[in-house]
Amino acid sequence: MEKVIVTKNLSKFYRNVVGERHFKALDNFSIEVEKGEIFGLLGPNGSGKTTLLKLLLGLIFQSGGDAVVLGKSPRDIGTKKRIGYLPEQPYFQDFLNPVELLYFYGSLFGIEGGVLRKRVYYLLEKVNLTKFEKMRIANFSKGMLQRIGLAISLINDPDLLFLDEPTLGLDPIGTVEINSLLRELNSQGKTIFLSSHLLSEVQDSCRRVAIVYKGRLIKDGSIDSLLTVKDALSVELTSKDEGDIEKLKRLAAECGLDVKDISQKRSSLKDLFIDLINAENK
Amino acid sequence: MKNILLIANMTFKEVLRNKLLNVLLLFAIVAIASTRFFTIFAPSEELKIMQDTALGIIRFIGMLITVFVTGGLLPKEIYRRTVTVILSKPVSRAQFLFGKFCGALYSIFTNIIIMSVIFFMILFIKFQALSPELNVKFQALAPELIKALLLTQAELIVLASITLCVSTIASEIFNITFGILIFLIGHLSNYIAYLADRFDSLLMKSLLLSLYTILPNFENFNVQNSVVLGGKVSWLYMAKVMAYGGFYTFVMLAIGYLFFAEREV
Ligand SMILES: Nc1ncnc2c1ncn2[C@@H]1O[C@H](COP(=O)(O)OP(=O)(O)OP(=O)(O)O)[C@@H](O)[C@H]1O
Ligand SMILES: [Mg+2]
Repeated sequence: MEKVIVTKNLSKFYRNVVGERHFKALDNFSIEVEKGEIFGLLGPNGSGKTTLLKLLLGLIFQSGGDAVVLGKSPRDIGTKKRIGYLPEQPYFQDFLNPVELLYFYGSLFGIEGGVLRKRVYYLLEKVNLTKFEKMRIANFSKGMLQRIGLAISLINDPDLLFLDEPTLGLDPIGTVEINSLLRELNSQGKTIFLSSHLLSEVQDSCRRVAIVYKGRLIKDGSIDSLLTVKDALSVELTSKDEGDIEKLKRLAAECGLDVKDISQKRSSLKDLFIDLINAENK
Repeated sequence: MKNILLIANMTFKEVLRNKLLNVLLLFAIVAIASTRFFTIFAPSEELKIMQDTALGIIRFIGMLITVFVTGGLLPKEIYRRTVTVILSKPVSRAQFLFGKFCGALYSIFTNIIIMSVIFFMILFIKFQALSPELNVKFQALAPELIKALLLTQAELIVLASITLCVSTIASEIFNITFGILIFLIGHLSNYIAYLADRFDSLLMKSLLLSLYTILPNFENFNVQNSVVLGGKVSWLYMAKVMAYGGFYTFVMLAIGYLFFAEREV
């Protein structure tokens, strides 16, 4: 498999942080991301996710180790033609409307004329902003900013997409929409590298994850291998009355099984919210 | 090349929205227009004072506009993080910096041209009113005034490059203060050379002389006094000063680039 991102012992020290002379934001970090996967970088606030992304984009520079993106240095201009980036809490020239903004960023790639026009309106449609094409960015809500940011990151039809907390500030519906868009992009062969601290979201959309804590890689692997618990089952049965739990417990005891917990299945609040809103929209 | 233009255009649009600059321009226009009403002097005297005042206003307000525009360009981009998006596109840091510089120049040019047009209009009206009593012709004076304004423009380009250079590492307030100081000191640089002459200590002498060499000599760009008195500015002089300004600007941008290339954003 072709590797699109490789970091080897990548380190980043921030100098002269109050109280410490060298603050290790990233410490001997080594990962490999393969072509065509959705890779999730998972970690609590301040663990170094944004730092890693910025290093991979050549916006900041490593203190040690090595990073290779699409076979070249992150500083390489040619590499940037093939990548897209959505920063955390994106912010843009706020006196423009989304169409002007997309035109500007598209032109930076040398995309022109009818091709650019088609691309701009296609992306507005994709991120559900067609209605707001005349609105100035200054009046955009947080969720709308996130969407236009995503559209901008896609303007060059990139092979590799860097997303820093792509669903931050989006409501559950928006989150689901973005996640399904990401899966669609992925099915077209794009590699997606995203950071998040929302566990459920990463679980839903990523095939492989790396867990980072205090700048160090503490675990990485496929979601399946990380989340499958080998020595426990979860049981889900169709149940018609309350007595079913007692029946099942008795049955299990007869077979010599040690039952820890059998309970009524509950859907998550998130699922409920989405179902309610969807029903409302019908 | 195209990216430089795109960034310059975007910068220009952004700068146009700066209220402070619009206020400065308005102030300059009112001040220049009001020179029309200087009437307490003899006609030829009146004309001189009027030109002197207007040229001075254009230089001074032009200077303020220059440092306010250029001093804020990079800090604003970095503070708002728009720079991270632009630099993640196929835009080199050199293109970005130079594009920003060109955008600032567009807006400085525009302001200078607006002020100059107002100045010429007022001057023309004045000529019409006083012409029987004057021994100079508008047609003879105008080209020299244009040369003086071109040199002012060149001076402001140099000032912009210095301000942009420090702004690759410093904050907006610092850049603006520094820009204004450099402008003032740059106009005193002949005085520094004079001081160096007067000192006996070799250390002081060489210190002042190197200061004189490094600092921009903005008095070179100031031909106001001779033009107002009816003197002519030779094209050779213009060429020499422009070459000096061009060289200075190039060096400042190159140093600015070296800093910006390593700047974390
Ligand atoms: N320019 C900087 N100078 C000094 N310290 C910094 C700088 N940028 C980040 N840090 C520190 O580095 C650490 C990692 O920051 P980073 O932004 O990478 O975290 P993160 O994982 O993205 O967090 P979050 O989930 O909150 O976005 C933090 O402790 C932060 O304070
Ligand atoms: Mg972050």
